[in-house]
Amino acid sequence: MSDTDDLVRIADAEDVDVTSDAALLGEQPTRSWVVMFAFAVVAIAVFTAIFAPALAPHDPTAQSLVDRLQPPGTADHLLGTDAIGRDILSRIIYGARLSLGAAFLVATLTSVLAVSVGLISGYFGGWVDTVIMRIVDIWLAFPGLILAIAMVTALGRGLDKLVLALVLAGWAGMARVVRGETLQLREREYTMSARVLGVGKIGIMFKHLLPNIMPTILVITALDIGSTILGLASLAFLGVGIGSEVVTWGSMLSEGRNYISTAWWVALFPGLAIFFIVLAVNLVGDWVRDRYDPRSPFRRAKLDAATRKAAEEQEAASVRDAATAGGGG
Amino acid sequence: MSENPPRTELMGSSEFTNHHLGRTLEVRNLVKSFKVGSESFGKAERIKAVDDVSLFVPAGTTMGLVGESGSGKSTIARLICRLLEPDSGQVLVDGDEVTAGTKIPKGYARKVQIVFQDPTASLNPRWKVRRLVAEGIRVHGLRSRSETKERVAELVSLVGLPEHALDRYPHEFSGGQRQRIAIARALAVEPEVLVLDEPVSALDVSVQAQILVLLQELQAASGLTYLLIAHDLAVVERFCDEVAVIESGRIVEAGDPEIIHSRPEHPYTKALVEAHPVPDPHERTMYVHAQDKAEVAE
Repeated sequence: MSDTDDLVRIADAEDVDVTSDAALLGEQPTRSWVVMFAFAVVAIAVFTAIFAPALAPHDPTAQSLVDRLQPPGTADHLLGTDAIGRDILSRIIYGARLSLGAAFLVATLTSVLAVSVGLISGYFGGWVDTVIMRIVDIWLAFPGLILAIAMVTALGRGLDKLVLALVLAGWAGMARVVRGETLQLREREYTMSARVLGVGKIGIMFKHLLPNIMPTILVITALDIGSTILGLASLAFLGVGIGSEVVTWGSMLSEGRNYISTAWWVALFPGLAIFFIVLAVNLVGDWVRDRYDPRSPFRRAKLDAATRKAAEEQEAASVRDAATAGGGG
Repeated sequence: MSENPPRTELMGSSEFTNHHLGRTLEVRNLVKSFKVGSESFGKAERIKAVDDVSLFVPAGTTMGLVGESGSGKSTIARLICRLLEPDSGQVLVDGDEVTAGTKIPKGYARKVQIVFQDPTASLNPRWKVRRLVAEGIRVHGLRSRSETKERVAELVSLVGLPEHALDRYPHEFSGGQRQRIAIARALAVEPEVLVLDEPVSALDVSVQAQILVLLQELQAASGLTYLLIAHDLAVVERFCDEVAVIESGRIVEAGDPEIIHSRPEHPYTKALVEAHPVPDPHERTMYVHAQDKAEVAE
């Protein structure tokens, strides 16, 4: 009993944020600083990517055989140099550009494609839905990364083709989720009301269905960015897709592999960069899910409390209604 | 509207209904069946949800359609609003004929509107009241931007909501208020026929009466024609000019609501009447005695 009272009280306090969400489930308050950390890492990474030319102490591609394989802490090379004397810190800073830029681009394009396909499939139903969903089934039967490698091989090298390959590798799963949500919302009375009002199919899809699917899309996209970064790094590590003229963390890792016993720093630092950015992005994704996904337990607890509050208000309102009606009649 | 011509004379004479009555709702031999079971296993069966239903609702009156859940009454509502395609039969609204397989006449959407049972589900949760109510006006291009704004404010006050309701979201309202918003939205396109699909079933008993009164006032003011779908004969009795009782997709009994309630003929109707809880029997007996005495005194 007192637990539910607490829920209501927390919901009543206007500041329903991460901290009180955590409190609802009895989680440790560390959760909020973990989220802070994740946001900070992402913010730093984005900042680094944008201002890479100003931040990098050296040209990331400048070779200097005299300075090859310098350990970290050497004068002028904070994180050391690689086998042909390129500054590792500068390369990591420039590498953030590709990792983040391409990941955001891939995530955005994947969402657009998946949402279009999912909305059409779910809303039109019938044979359109059957055909699209069978294609999705077939698509999902292939492991994403293998599919991407196959496509890059077929399309040829280049950043644009790499992005395209990753989008094509990743759209199917999200399209199916969007289709499921659309199926559900299509039968909602507000969609039917719009149809009775004479709203066209496009209007219903973009004005009624899409805004109500948006939270789900946001959550999936946020969680997808992490795996996209990892996918990009994996492809670069395997040397698929982009030439060596573009600095990537994955290719740095690959090059460092040969020196792991003698010059650990060449592989370690790009590895750490990948590790931290993927961790941070996933944490941010989790946070987004907790906040916006109606199926998340955090969100549910909050909603329950909100519903209870609404019920109370409704009671009060109906009493008011009755009073007004009585006065009028 | 007590002097409606007998139904039999009107049935099947669309010429007459088209030109002289207007605003009428007529349903002729409507049939709709649904597939049950999976086709791929060769077990697909069709059940008739609506089986040869004909209805005639004169302009400005209310027809009640009563039946249990699953009796096909909501399917009829959806067929009339063209949310479902009928297998055969016609729906005529003010002379616009909608037949199975034909294209829906332009402007049909303006003539027929629907109010659903659950106002929480029937209002897009991400839209403010202003936008919700204006949608129909916008879609049909009925008014200019500034006129729309005025009209929306007018509609909102017409259904008894305060002006500040305009800039709020549906979840900020009570159930009864939400149903008022849904009614305002339906009225925005100036329909002639309003299909009310259990409009008060999801509401508190205290609020139900208010919504029904509002609907009655709106009908008196603008001559709307209502098809009221309900599972409760008591609601229908007070509100409707005529009642049709539906069982398994067929109309089993139709006529004056009071007569149907007091002297049901069909066994299904009897069961429906009996299913309605009678208030305290002791009080009821006292009430009957008092009435008898009054009659004797007269």
